[in-house]
Amino acid sequence: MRKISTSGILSFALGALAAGAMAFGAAAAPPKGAPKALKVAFVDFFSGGAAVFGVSGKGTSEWVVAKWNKEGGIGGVPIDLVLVDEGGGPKKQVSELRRLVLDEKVDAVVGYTSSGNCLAIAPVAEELKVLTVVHVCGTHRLTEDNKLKYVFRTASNQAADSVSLARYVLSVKPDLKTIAGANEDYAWGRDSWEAFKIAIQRLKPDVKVVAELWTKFQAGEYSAEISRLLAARPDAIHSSFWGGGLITFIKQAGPRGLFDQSLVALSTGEQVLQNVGKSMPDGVIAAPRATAGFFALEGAPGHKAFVEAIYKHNKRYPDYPAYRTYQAWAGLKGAYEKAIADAGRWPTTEEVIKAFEGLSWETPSGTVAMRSDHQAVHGGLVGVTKFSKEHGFAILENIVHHKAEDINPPLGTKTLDWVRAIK
Amino acid sequence: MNLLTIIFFDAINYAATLFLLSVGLTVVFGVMRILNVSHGGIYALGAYMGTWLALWVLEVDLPPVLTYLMLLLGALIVGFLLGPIIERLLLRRIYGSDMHIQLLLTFSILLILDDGMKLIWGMEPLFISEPYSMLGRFKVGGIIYPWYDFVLVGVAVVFGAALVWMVRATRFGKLVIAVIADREVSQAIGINVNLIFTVAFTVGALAAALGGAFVAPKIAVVPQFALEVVVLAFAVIAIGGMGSIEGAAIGAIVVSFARALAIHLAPEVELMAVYLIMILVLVVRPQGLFGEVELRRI
Repeated sequence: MRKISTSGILSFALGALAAGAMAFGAAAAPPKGAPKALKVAFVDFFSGGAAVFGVSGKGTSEWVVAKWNKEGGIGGVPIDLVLVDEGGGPKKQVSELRRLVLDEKVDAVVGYTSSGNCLAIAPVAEELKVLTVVHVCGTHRLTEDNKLKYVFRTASNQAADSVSLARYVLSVKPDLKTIAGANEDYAWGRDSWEAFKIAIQRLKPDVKVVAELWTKFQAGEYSAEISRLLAARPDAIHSSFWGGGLITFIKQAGPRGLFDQSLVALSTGEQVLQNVGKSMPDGVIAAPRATAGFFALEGAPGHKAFVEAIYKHNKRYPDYPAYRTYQAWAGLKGAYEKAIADAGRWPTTEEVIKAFEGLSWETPSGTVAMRSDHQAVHGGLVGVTKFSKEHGFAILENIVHHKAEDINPPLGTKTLDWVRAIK
Repeated sequence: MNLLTIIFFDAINYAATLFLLSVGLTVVFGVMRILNVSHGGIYALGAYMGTWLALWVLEVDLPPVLTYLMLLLGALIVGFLLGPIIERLLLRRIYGSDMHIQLLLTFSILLILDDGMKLIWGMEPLFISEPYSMLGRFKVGGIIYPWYDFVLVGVAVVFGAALVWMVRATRFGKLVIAVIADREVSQAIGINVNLIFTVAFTVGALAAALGGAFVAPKIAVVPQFALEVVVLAFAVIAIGGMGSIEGAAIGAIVVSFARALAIHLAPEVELMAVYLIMILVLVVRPQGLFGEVELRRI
């Protein structure tokens, strides 16, 4: 039997220690002044028609936080995740935010899917001086009607969706003459339709609007709206319905032939593909709101691994809320890490904000860049639905990729002014 | 003419859903004088149970036509199980209490039901579309309607007619009317008021569950989806008159026509139209179109 020398044991032990250190946080010790944990709230819908967003957002947040905590957290500090339901309307969200900051003492907040909610909480987040990273909310007014210091949005605003849909509709139907809109009667629906209508009429000035319909938030009934759209016979229909509302719309409109009669463009259509299965007809224009899409894997390095990991964790392919949730968390992490490197110690919120402005970070969708107006910009894709036997539901084909500068207004230009001048 | 036909069909179609949703609310209020906030939860549970059973039929490759039977079965299970349980175990303890106690209790039941549904079925929507599209479709005024929409109208008419028959033409109905008129005297002359209450609440729960189960194939069944709808049900019974079955039918028709007219003629006022009519009715006739002025007893 071979004898093991003392020095051999020692060097093995040292090697094991070094390997362990690399695995558990190549991570050096936390910087000076670091807290025991970084407490971050994730706010998304866990009830109501919009809960399909929360399912993705919650799953992705839990996955990414667990993964990073295993790797050493942010700058060696683990993240303490607090989950909060976004249901109940803007007033409730304002009180929830106050509770999170004053009682729960969170260090940052990630979330807000509804445009109504993000508009309501932004001034309060500024007043409470809490770093808030908005992940899905789409209204351009968030960054244009508010002077933001503490609030960031890590994804493109609705103009990116409306303009890319308008361009795509005209490429599919160059002889377009009439359009109609069916949208929810609040910030997201109003702003999305306004930008789509302006973009279409700018690109083809003779297009006429034959119906503009406004429904309740997450309405569960669209029969009369569908009759109105069938009677108006528009060449194309724009809808920014989302979540449960969009699922109901597809369920009710499909059997009534609306998708056969008109070309329908759904700005959040990609999100419900996995829910509606065969009920989504082929040939409907849909987009993953300027993110990559699990069906188009030629994105950034690591995209495939992201899709596989999210599928394993969420039992669902990453839809656009999953991509946007990751974008928000990765932006927050990037900002903290840059601020730690700049300060050489645990940074103040103001130092994190300074690091966030101008930050670029990699995501499965590609590079995201945060501008000084706290609005991130990135490219995106649009396609049409086609049933996939392999998946058991429709995915997108005939995909067109847009560069960030083609679907986002430049810094300093108001969104609608930019849309009015697109070429 | 074409437009009026379309508006008529749209309105009738939606009125059926609204009637099924609100008639149970009005029956419970009429007999028991309880404003049952948990009604929306029972409606949602009917939708979940019906959809879940119908999905099972499709999963095990049974004939898809059985999905209709499963929707009905789901509603019956929820109505006949939940109705007596809620009434006997919980509501019975608060008869005669202040209105706010009743509201708190029924609201708590709603929250418990909602969380229960989340625990059982999760947050992902339950999705079934076969029953909605399987029956085919027809055209009126150039507009396509699925036949299923009119199955709903049929279910609403049959259920409404059965209720009216039960109240007006049976011995049990006469006992119910006696209890509505004077609970104490009814008890004094030997009517089993407790049984009447259990039956009334079960009928209310059954109506809600039927509505939920048969509407489910045309909507996304998601947590708390009934909360929004139940607010509309309160508008319906306020317009029709609280406690009146005929009132619930007329209220549902008025609300549906107001909504359909607004969508076709002035979409901007769609959300306001229903509540504007409710305010007008309440200003002119505070007890609602079919409601009766309650006499104050000394």
